[in-house]
Amino acid sequence: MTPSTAFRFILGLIFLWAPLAAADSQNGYVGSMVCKTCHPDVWFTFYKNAHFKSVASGKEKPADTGCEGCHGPGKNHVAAHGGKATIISFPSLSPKQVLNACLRCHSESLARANIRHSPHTQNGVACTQCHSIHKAETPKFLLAKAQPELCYGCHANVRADFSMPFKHPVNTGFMRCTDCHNPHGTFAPTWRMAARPALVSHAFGNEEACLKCHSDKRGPFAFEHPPVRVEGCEMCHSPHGSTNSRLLRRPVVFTLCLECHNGAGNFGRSGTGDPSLSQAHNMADPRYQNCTNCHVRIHGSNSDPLFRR
Amino acid sequence: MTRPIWFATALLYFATCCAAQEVIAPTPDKVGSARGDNWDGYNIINSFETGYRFFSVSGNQNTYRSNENFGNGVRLLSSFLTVNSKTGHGRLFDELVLTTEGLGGDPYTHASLRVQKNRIFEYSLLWRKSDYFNPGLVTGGGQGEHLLDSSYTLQDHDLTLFPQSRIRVFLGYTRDSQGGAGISTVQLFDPGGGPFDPTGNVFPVFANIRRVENEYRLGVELHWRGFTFDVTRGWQDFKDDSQDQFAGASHGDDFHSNTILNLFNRAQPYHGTSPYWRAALFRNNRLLSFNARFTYTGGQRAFVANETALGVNQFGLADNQQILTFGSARRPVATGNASLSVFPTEKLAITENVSFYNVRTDGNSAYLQFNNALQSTDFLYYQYLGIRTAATQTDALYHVRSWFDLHGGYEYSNRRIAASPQVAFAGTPSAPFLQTNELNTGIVGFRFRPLKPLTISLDGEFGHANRPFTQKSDKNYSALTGRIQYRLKTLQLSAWSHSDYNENSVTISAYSSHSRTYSGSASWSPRSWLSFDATYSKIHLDTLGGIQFFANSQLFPNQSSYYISNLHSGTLDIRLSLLQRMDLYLGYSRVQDTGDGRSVATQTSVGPTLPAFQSAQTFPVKFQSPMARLSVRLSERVRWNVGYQYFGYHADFWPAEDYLANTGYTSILWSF
Repeated sequence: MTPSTAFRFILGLIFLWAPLAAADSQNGYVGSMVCKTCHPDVWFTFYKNAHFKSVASGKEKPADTGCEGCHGPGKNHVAAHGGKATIISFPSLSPKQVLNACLRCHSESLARANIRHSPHTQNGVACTQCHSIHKAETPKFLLAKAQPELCYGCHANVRADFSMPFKHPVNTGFMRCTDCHNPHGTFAPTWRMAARPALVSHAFGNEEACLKCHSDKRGPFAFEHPPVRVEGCEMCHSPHGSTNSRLLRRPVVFTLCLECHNGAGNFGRSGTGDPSLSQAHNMADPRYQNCTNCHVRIHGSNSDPLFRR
Repeated sequence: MTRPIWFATALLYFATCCAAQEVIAPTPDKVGSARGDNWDGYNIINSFETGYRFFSVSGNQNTYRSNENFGNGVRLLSSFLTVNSKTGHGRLFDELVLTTEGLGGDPYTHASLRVQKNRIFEYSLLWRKSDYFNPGLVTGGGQGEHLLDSSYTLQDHDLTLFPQSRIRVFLGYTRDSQGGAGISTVQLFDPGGGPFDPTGNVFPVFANIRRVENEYRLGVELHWRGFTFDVTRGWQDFKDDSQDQFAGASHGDDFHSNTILNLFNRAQPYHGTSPYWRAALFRNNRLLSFNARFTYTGGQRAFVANETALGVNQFGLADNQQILTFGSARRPVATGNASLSVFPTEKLAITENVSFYNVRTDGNSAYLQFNNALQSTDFLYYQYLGIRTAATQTDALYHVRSWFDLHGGYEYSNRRIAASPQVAFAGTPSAPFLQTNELNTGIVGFRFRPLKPLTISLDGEFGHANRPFTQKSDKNYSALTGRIQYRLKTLQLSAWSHSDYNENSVTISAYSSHSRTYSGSASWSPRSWLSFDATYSKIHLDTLGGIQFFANSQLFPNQSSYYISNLHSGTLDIRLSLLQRMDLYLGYSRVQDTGDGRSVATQTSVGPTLPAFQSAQTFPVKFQSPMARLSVRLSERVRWNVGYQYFGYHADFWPAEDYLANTGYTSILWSF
């Protein structure tokens, strides 16, 4: 680069920077009390909003507190007597811009450690699609709608699952979607091999979320039923809801068992196939069609390798 | 007049083909001033809904209790209290939120409390209680001999100290308990080969269920220069002191057996602890996002089982048996995750995940089982099970245009399972059998926004595992998901489709599973006083797997297990506000599995000829629930509500499980 070229480049930078700097210097922070003048409906209930903490603190920088903490400096907005072009208006931001704006303060949480590559983020779901800062239905987390309606809005198929005769009590409010799922993204589950299912929170030690409540199934047991540990609960159960009792994947339990216990192939813990039923199991007799009547500890036992006590 | 008829016809049409699954109570409508009342620097909003629930059931009461379980009685259906400091500098707290639902006898009851003082502390409590009833429907036709009439109670306490500072301290306590009555079953099969009952007769016994889990947590989070370091130490204690008992004279379920059980007592206390560590380090910014997490859980359980039985053995002679076992099991779990996301440009995001999981279940290599009836001692040998999984996943997301994104990824997982069915001799464990499964998965998809309110996305995942653990595990699988969403002001339409295919060859037949789900939803609020929500889903599942079994001493090899389900589920909600005084809600929910269309359970030419197998191939069922709720504002602070919900359950081939239920409530919702 010759000196003259370098001089022209620097001059160009100055010309480019000067108007930007001037425009920026024209804008400035005016404080939330000014915003109140035109937006009293927002301000007069803002003390109930979790974001009011930044105002109450009184120690935050203007860029980190009150209305301008999220909407940016408001001087130009005031001078222009309002308008979306002179202030950060969240509906006009891209999902990524919304995420960046929120994560300025909300990145310091382990629950959101994976948010930037979560399936929701990858599919363009912005924070403001689930959270309503000024018109929240729930005081906690400022959700736009209460769960599970919020999630059903996009996941109609899940709503169908929870309409089944047998289901986890989510619609009654006893359970919430976030008891098992982290919508902000989770660490990759390794209890199963494939990446599915997505957004499932982990119990202890990367175990399935089911074990957070169903702690009696956790073990350790002297005799584990290997598929429970290797493939997980969904091997036999539909976690959301089912037309079958106990959320089973089949209406009759013996078909569920026989599909693995057929001695075929090189499956199972010993690689010789899951043991097929002995001759004593007369499948023409209804007594033997109720496998769990004898094998009562099917999730694991301490006293019997065949899970009978 | 034509228009109302058209409107009514349309409503009826929707009501018959779609539906809405919302619980009828508590009433979601608000009452009182949204701004509440001011008192001593605080603003208070307080409301209660109290009323009477009623129900009547015809048909199978047990199925009703298993599915719904709403009863009669006075309830505090809901309550809501918020107290907010208007300055953010309250004396004791700055925010208090207390909500309850279903107190006073509903099967699902919960309460939550949140109290916080800015910069000092945040405390939250979630308390839940659920009445869990299961009549043993698991085998279909009510043949199951297990019954549970128990309650789950869960409570979570979390206290955060200095929540807005660079150093935060977390304290937590969780209690999860289950108690109640049950009916279980026992076999008197003597592992030592004694004569009491080698036939496999099954006797019902009464169970007293007592399970408690307590978890204590202590954690610290440090923030420094954009990095967050989080470390948590926890202790999870679990105990199961359930007992099984029987006194009387039971012949069991084998009518050909001479065995009689007169007295049975089994106690098998099972206590243990799972202390754990969790450490995480992460940073989250626009150019680079990084996180790493490590957990270690050391699970240990000690157990004793003491089982005594008195009765008459298969030869008609008085007999008794006592079995006593004891031992301990361990299962340490170590996991690690690391993730790095880089955003080199505004358009590109690349993420690399690495995961590691290692678990092994072991204990004493053998433990003792005493059988007093035979005066014998057996060694029971542990079944060692170790699983080690390592996985790496790379994803890339490219914003080609503001209206078009592409993403793709690749995952590789390697899982090694080491299992030892039993040791040859005490103290000399046999070499475990090792197997390794490798899974390669590709992910690809796009998101397309041709118009601002319209989003179309398609995702695909294709995977191959070279050594699946079971016949039903993923081997050659593909999962495709498509979604179309249209959002414009008061109208939201969406359609979703998902298919999940898995082919897993075995030596006696090929296992295949095909699952396809189609769903659509519409939400429309044409006026502030009128809104419609409707959803419809069709879930198709067909599986074909190889089985073999014995029937009447004859082996039936190379048989197939076939199952087909065609579930249709729909919901419809209509909400109307009339004259600014009344809110009317109408809802309908319907789930119907049409199976494979057969009208008789055994009407099939596929699979084994035994009727039990044929009737298990499909499970046609109908479950519908229309409901209506009227809420009338009597004054600024008082509402009167009345609601009705009907449940109709019909299993085509198991009519003994059918029930019809009429439930409802009337309540007063008031604030003060």
